[in-house]
Amino acid sequence: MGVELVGPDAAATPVSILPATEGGLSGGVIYPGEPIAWSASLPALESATNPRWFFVSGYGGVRPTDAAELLSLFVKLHERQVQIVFDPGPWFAGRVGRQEMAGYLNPSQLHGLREPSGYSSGIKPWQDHCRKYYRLFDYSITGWLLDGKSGLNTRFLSLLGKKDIEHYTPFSGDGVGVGFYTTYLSRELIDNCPVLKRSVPDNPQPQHIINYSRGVHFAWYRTILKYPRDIKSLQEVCLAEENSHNRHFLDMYTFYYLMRYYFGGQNNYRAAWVDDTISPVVAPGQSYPITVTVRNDGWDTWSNASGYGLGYAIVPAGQELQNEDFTNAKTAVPNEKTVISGQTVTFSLTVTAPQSHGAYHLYYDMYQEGTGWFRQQNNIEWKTEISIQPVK
Amino acid sequence: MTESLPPVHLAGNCAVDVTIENTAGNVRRKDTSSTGRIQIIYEAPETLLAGNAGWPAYLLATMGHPVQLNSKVGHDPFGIFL
Repeated sequence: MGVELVGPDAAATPVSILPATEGGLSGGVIYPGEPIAWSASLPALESATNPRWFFVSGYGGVRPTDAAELLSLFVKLHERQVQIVFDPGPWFAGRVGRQEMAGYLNPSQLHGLREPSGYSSGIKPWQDHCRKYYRLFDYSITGWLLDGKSGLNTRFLSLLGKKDIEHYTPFSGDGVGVGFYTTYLSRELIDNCPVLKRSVPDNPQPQHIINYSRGVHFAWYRTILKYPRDIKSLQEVCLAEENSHNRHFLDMYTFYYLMRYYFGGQNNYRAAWVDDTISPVVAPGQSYPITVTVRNDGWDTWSNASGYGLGYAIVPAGQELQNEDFTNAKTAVPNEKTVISGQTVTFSLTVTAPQSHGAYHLYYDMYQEGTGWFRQQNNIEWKTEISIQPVK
Repeated sequence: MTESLPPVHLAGNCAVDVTIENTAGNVRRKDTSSTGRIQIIYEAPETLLAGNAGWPAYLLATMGHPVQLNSKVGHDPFGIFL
């Protein structure tokens, strides 16, 4: 068969005891095993034949430090042009989210009086934190925004409001799902970001999904402890009911793009960052010819004639990026190239390093003349770390 | 075919799932002599290869794809099963 085990041995094997009832899996007991030695993958990947793929998932005991270790590994593999596929759930999504990754706190406690602590607003640090991990994992949708109080009225919590959702749109510009317990209306665009309140209970029955009047209807749901076959069955039952409704079950991106289009928004200025060739260590004041490859994830067509191109900015590490930091050395889409949705384009440009030594962040972003940078449309710019060191 | 395919390296958990059919139709009788919570069942538990990385590695290998797996299993009966 040819499965080669390259990690170190563990004291005991991870085991899950899973009782299955008529309703599907019901609870269970999991022995999660020991932490994965992520760095053990590096030698094997370095010695493999190109092209190489690295598929990463979690384990039952994922810790906050796992994300940091993986980030370091991703950077090394990226330099070696290894293709990375990261599956964060359920282990990363559930375990790391609380402390290290994006997405697990009570949004309504980030601002306002912040009782009982009295701390100042946590919006900006939280957005910076989330942007870092959304960029790392190529996220642009917040699947489910909720307060952990689950609808209870407490002294220190209020129901989610529109302001809470607005705090998430800058780094999740392609969609935000909102939980039940909110004062927010059911659906709309906020700064061109499609937002939809959940309307269907956990583990829904078909009637929960199909019970709506005719017309265009958007809804999302979640299942807990269900087999994929149960979800497939649920969808098949829904699709078999009243076909004239023309129902579709969609991936999140298609779902929110269509919803945004339906509500009059635009699906333009969406970019995914594929690759760049900058060296992580550069000499002060030196110029480097590099390439940057970008995928068009929007519905607009990029071309030189329509004013699309790529720019870069270099700022000292830790300094917040401003639009004004981008250099005037913009690189337009090559003349002969027309980049439609889903296609990639490679830019050839020259990056000049600052004169002072130290740690810097190099940012890339797409722009359209007359419109501005994509980051102004809530599409996260790319960021890579570079070190400027004297030539030995 | 296998030679021409690019290798895939997987990292993550490789585990054993033990599934027990706890349905009414599978209960032979309930043991009332002790706690009353023990059920004697007809069907034997199933022991399955699982894990977010282990299962895709197995699947890809079954399809003839060269794979490597970075995971942690023990020198115990479950590890031997894997």
